[in-house]
Amino acid sequence: MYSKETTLYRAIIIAVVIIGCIIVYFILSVIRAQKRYRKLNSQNLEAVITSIEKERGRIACDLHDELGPVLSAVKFKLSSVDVSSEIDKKTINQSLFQMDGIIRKIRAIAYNFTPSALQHKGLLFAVQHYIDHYISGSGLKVVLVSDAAVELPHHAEIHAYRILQEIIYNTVKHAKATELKIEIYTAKDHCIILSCDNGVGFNYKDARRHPSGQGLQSLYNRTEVLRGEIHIESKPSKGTKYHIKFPLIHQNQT
Amino acid sequence: MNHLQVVLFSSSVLIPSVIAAMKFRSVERSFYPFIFFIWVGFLNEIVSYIISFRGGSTTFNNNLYILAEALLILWQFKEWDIFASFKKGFVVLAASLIIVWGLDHGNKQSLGSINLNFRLLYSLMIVLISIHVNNSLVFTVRRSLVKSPVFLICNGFTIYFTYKILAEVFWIYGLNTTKAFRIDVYIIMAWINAFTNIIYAFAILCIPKKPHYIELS
Repeated sequence: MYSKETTLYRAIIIAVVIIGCIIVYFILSVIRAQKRYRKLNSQNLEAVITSIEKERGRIACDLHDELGPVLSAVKFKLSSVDVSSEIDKKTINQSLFQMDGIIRKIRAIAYNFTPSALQHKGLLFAVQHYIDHYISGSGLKVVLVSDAAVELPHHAEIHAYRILQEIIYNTVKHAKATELKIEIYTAKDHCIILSCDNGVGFNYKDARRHPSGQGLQSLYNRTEVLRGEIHIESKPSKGTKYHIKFPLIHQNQT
Repeated sequence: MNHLQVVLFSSSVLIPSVIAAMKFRSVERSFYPFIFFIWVGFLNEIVSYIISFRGGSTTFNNNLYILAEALLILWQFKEWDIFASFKKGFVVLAASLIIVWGLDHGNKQSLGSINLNFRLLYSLMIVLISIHVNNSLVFTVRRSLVKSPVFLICNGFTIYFTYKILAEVFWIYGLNTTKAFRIDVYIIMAWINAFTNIIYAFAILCIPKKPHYIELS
């Protein structure tokens, strides 16, 4: 090498080392920033979802324990009214019928807010209950296949229930599907939820970029709170498939 | 470092190539362009060895290789939805690269000469897009970046192509007068190449498996 080239070569080495250091510093700062952002985001998400669940529980409790008995008392008083006119009797009977409808509706709303079956009989029973009572009239056939050993801590159970509720609700509301199959099982310290339907599907990438509602985001948020991962495969007229997997160990720790 | 060591360092592309071959069926489809990029790189190394062994010039195959490399990387960026907000971005950039490559090789004979303008342009493009992807990952990736294949691959691109830009600038200014100087610059390139190949190998190991879905029976 000429002496000029030796100088140049040294300059190249110095430039490479400096650029290398800058790139390494940049990479490390990006990793740190993302770690902080993820932690903060996860904490915020968990706080928001927990407060939503608490608020739902409070509303469900108020509806069930306060409004329910009051309406039952009104119904009882109304039924004890003694009237001679046939027209009045008919009016009272109609009112009693409507009152029954209101009480049933309030119970259903309260159940939707916080499904008591989830607390007392577990995830699978609660999901099956939801399917039997709220989806049966929609024309959608839902097949729930599950591992009998699926037992989750309550914290995870409520999120898993909401995820399944959202999937079923989305299928009824948007998919125009006639069949939905759901599988829930545990494997290697993970809970896995799989589903597929024969509906119209949607453009997943567009829906992620320009969401029309909160449904898809809610699925992502709840999966994140569970420290899990979610994969969705959907194409127009080819149905929608979900794959959700979350660890059971984290749930036991929280 | 002698010529054999440079060859060995360049052969480090064998590591990600083998890992990619083993994992190909199970990895997500969106990473296929990157895997093809690795394999094309490996294929080019083999072709280069054969040509060098016979005493020929490797410029011809390298010129074809870098066009394929640039287009495959661009395709990979497309698979990562980089052009979501500007859907024609992929076509515009790919067409620009092909045009510049074509202008660098105005006639068939010029395929045997090094296309510096194209090399500088595509290296710069890859570095800039990689930095953009890395920054956007901070807000979109929901797991650790250290194990994110996209993050690792983009860092590999940034490191390798930044040095490539530096080297190409020297050649553009005609600073490659002696063979000894060129070899010294290529030795640094060989080290960086080996390092990025290790990053690529790790990235391929981190590529998530295709999710398993159920079907309606």
